[in-house]
Amino acid sequence: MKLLSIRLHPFGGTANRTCTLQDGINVLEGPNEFGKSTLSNALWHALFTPTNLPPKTLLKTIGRWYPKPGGDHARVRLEFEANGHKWILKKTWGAGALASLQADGAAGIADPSKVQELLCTQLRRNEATWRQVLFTSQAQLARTIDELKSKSGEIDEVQTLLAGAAAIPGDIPANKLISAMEDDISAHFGQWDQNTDGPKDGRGIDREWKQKVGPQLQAYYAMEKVRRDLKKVWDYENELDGINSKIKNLSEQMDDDEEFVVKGSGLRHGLTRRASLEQIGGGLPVELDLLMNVLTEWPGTPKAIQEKESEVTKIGEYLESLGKELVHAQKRAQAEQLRQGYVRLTKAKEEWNTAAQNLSKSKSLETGLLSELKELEPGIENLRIELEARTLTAKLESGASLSVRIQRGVEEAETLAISPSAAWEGQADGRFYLELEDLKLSVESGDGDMSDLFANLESARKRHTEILRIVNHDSLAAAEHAQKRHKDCILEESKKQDRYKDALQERTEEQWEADMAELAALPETRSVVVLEAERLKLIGERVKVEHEIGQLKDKVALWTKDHTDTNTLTKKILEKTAELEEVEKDLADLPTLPEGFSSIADYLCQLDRRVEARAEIGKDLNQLKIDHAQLTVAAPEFTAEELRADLEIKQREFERQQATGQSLLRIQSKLQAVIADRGINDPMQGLAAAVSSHFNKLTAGRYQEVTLDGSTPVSVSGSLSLGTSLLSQGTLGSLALATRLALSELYLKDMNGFFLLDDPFTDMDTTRRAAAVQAIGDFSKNHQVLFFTCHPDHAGELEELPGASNLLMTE
Amino acid sequence: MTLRILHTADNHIGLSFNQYPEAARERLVDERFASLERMVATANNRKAHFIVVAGDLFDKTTITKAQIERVVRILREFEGEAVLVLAGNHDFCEGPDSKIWKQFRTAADGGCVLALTEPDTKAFDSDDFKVRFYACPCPSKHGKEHTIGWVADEEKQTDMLHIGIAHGNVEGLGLDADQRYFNMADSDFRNAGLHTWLLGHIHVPAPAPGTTGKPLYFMPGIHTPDSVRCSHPGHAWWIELDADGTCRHEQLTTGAIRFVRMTLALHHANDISTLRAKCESLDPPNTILDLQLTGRLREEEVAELNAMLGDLSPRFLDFSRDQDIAPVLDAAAISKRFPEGTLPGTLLHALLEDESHPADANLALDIIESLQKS
Repeated sequence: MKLLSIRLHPFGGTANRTCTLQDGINVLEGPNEFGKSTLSNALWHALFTPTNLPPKTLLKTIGRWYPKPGGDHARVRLEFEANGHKWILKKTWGAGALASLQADGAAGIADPSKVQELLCTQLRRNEATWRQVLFTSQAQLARTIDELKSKSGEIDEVQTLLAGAAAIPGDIPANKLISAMEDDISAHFGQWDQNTDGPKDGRGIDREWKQKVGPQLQAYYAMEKVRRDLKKVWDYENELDGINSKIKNLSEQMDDDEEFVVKGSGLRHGLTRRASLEQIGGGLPVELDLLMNVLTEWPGTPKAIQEKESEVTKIGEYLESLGKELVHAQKRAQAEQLRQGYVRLTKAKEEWNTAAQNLSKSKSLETGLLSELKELEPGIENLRIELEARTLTAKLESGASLSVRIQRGVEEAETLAISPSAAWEGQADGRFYLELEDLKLSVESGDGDMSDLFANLESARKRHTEILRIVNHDSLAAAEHAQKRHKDCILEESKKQDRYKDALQERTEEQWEADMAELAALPETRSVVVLEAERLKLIGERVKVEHEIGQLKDKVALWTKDHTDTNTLTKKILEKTAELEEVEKDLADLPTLPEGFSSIADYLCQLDRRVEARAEIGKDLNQLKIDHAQLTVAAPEFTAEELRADLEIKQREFERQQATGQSLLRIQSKLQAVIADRGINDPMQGLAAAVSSHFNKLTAGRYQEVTLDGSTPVSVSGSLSLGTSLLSQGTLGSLALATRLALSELYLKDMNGFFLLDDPFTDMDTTRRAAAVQAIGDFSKNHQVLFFTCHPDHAGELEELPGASNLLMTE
Repeated sequence: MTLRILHTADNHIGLSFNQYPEAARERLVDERFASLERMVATANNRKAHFIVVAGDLFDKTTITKAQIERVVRILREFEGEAVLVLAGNHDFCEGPDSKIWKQFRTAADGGCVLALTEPDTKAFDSDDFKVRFYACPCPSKHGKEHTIGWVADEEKQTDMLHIGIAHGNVEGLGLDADQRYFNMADSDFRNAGLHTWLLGHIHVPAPAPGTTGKPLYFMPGIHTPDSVRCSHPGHAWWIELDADGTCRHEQLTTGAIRFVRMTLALHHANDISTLRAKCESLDPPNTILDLQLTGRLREEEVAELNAMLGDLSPRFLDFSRDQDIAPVLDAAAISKRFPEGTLPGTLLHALLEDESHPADANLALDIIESLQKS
């Protein structure tokens, strides 16, 4: 808010004056009673005193400013700029009370309360702030420190301002808002666990919280109670349905059984009688059949016995002839074995004869010759080897063609044809003999006696040849083979002879021949096996027939015993027939067995079972009806439909409370973010620094630092550190001015406003005043200052500052 | 010959309406009898042959004897052939010992009011008509299977009308997701081979108005509203059936009380005027009005709304409102209340930016104002 002009018409002793104000310092200088206080009060009341106060309060507050004598009202017209608009404020207190506020010539508002409300908005600081900080009278400056201490709760909170929120009307300190949010959230979520999104410690409606229950939990409990009630009703209805269903089923079962039981009760006697008769009469037909059979069978039985006895006789005869045939057959069976033995004997004899013939054809060699021959062959070989060791080599060459006769060793002489182109060269064992025409050349090996050697060899060879000739074989090997074969024939003949003897079986050939002749005389028969089978069969038949004969005889004995004779039997049959007809007649009058049952006993058993079951069902049904009655008495007050509708309402309310809870949490989160953005760390540092800076200038550097308690200085420090109570009056005034300037800068930060000083320099010496003038001059560069003084020198010092103007009050 | 039937159902006599103040409650309880009386009078005026109550004449099986007798007295005023009252799922008949139906029969003894509590047929033969009714009552409150299956097996004479009376949900017409309410399908009705079916259970009428021809079934809906869920004034069917099955039907309005739930979002003074007009268009002495109001209004508009509702509420039979109206809170309003730089202003502006939670700013304002007042 920047002041443009103020008109008092009238106000106090001023009948009608207008004061125009400028930017920067506006100095109003005049002696006491000149009207400075009147102007200051007119400005104050214009801004802060409503025109619609109760009469007594009005008189007490503003009555002193009614013109004397006899004045009944005071009136002020104020023009100012705020929020980019030019405003005209008119206020009349007392008679003709009026309040109006209009912007830029538009239609204004005339409601005194609304005018005041709007003014407060434009002033942006509360009344206490303006009074204690921005309106500074001489007396107030001196009391600044004490006033700040005592009124600290009234003026807009400095800490909040320093944190970024200016001391604007309606503003709230961050800590208070945070605290309020926490309280609201705590209250809303009272006993509610946000983590589990349910009652704290899981305490549902069965173990309700009673203390500090928030609206969310209240809504939850209310909803859950209805839900519980609804479930009870559902359970009740289901239980009732269940009982009704059982009653219905049992009733139907009773109805079904009732028909059966009622019908069965009527049938019981007749069916019991029928069962008894059927038991009695049931045997008669069988008995009659038996008697009829006996009657039929008895007369023919003696003859049958006779026939069977005849049959037995025939079988006996046949068995006798069969026995004879069997003897022959057995003999023939035995003869067959004999014949086979004879065949084996004949064959053994033939084989023996053949072996004997073979042996007779084979010749045995003289053992001495064979031995000599075996000795000669190695001797001849040794001599031959000895000759080979004495080998001679001869070469015959001739200048002319000729024929020579040569003999090498013991070899046969041979004729050679030799020519100049065909020489002969060869070897000879031990001796080489050549004969050419008359020439005879004999060459022998010179090693040993070759003649003996040749003689021995010749002799051995001759004996060898001779022996072979004697034994009639070409070689020793052939002779030895023949000798072996001879030995084999001897062994074979011996073996066959033994076999022949075995085949004789210690009998003679003649005996064998005799038996074979007897065998040829036996008659032809069937085999023993066939005959034995037939015999056994006939024996079995005879046993069977004999058994039948026994049975027939037993029957006759029994019949005779039971019935004496056939006449008596006939009489018995007639009696039984009459008895049967009587039973059948009785049964025709009795009820028959209902369908689906195998017997009367089965039906009656079923009937008994159903009668018993019906009694049991009756008991169950009675119990169910008791249960039903008890359940009906305990019927819930509300139906499921009513409770479902109620549950919808309660659910809606709970959801609303949940939404509110979430809103609160979001608001808290947003609040924290907003405060974090504004930077609230150590806010008082800014004020202390500002006060220290001003005080440093006002004391010409004597003190550098001021320590605050809240917004109140408590000590200063420079070369000395002193508590404020120890400061001189002049220094204290400088400290008060420094504090007010710092606070004013703070409160007027980022807004238009003015700072009113009423004779602040009275207690300052020249030096301090000069510093103060300079400080106020610096302050006025940013803010409008109204400076009232009765000291022309003070005014003069200020008027010398750039931008300063002399405040004129015109009629 | 033409058979004339007044068909009603779901009368729910005995509903307690405990959630309403005494005066309204008494009126609501009484209205269920009164509308029954009106129906009987209508049936007499129109010379109906039958009144058919297709189940849930009573709201519960624990209804008092006095209420049963009062109902029977009303029904006995019928001058036609008979009032056929079927046991529905609310007033089911579990067996011959059913207390409610014993009392009902005792009260109705000798008169024209007949209780249909067993699956059975009821034939009527007169000069004017020849009809056989097939009663399919409910034996319990809930039932997984319907009770009309036996009708298909019944032999039907061709020279008479055959009409089924049953109670339960109808597929496609009502919701019975758990199959708990004797659920019936169109195919079940067709298989039964009747001329038509008179049903009860669903509180909404069927067939739809304007339907012609031979409806497979009729559902009258509740005869007078019982809650805000009932959006119609209460109905019954007037049915005329010729001997050849030709059918004419007319929907009768039988209720005299309306339950109205009005859900409105108010954002302007005009909306308040609209609300007033809507309220005044109702029949207040016979209307239970439940207002569900949301929205944002200026303070003076909220005051105007409250004054208007204060003026209207005494005129209604019952008046309740669930109001979530917050003062308009936009950037201008915030700036007006909290100059720039204030913490409340900054916070409220920040909250306004969250468009998905518009109520947050109002709630925050409430907290701030509460703090300021303290």
